[in-house]
Amino acid sequence: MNTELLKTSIESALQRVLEDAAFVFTEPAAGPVADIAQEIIARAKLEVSGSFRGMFVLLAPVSLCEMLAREMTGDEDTDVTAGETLGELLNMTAGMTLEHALQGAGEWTLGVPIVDSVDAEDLTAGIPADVVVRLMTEEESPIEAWIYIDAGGDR
Amino acid sequence: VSYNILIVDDSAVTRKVIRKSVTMSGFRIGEFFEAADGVDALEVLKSKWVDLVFADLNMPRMNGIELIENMAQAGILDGTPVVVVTSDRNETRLAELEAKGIRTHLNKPVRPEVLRDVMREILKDVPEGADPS
Repeated sequence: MNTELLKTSIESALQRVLEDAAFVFTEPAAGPVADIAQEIIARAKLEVSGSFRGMFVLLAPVSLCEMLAREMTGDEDTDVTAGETLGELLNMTAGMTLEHALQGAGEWTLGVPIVDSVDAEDLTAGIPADVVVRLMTEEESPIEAWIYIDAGGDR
Repeated sequence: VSYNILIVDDSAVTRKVIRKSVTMSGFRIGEFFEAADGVDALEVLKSKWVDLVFADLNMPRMNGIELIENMAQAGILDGTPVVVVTSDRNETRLAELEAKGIRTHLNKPVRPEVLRDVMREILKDVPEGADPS
């Protein structure tokens, strides 16, 4: 799998998903979420199997996720959680990324997103992802997407 | 004249987004039913009159493909239109589902005007609010 194509695909997909789903516009960010965010970070993970095998990860401050939930539902008092919102945005982003990156070739299956929250310092200690994309909203909140490519895939 | 709508998705945010879009569609809605997976959706379908189903594919317990297969086996799919709303943009799988009897599919995120147009296309020939019993 061409990691450069994956990178441009997920960057475009994440920007488009944020615009279409939540009316949030972004630009490339200067640094990692872990360096920028001064708070707890929400994390969503999504396994993919089939022609592409690997894992997608999406990271954003909880406050940004809560704002995205309000924008998506149109409800200022929404009871949708930060994690649920980030998980669904990751689901949309992964599907759009794979559609573009695989260009109609092969089949893949998206898993069910798993969400949790982490401290910034824990993020920097993990295994480096194969693809990393960092965006910044107009309100200067960071959001970051990772892709791990499973070498055991049948691509 | 009103329509009963079933929204099947494990994502609470997507259930709310679809519900909001349906509300904005201009159709008069009788009842909204929501289910987080295929198991709960089948329970609704077996006990309530539903005019239109919006169903996700990737869900725990019973996914959307299994739900559609169960609806077909129970004879529900012929009279209850299903629109798949999914992030799974795998055209081969979606074509197979259309061959099995779903009416169409929409990619997430769904724009309200796209959902409204699909409702206009499908609900024009549905007997509204009829009692299955």
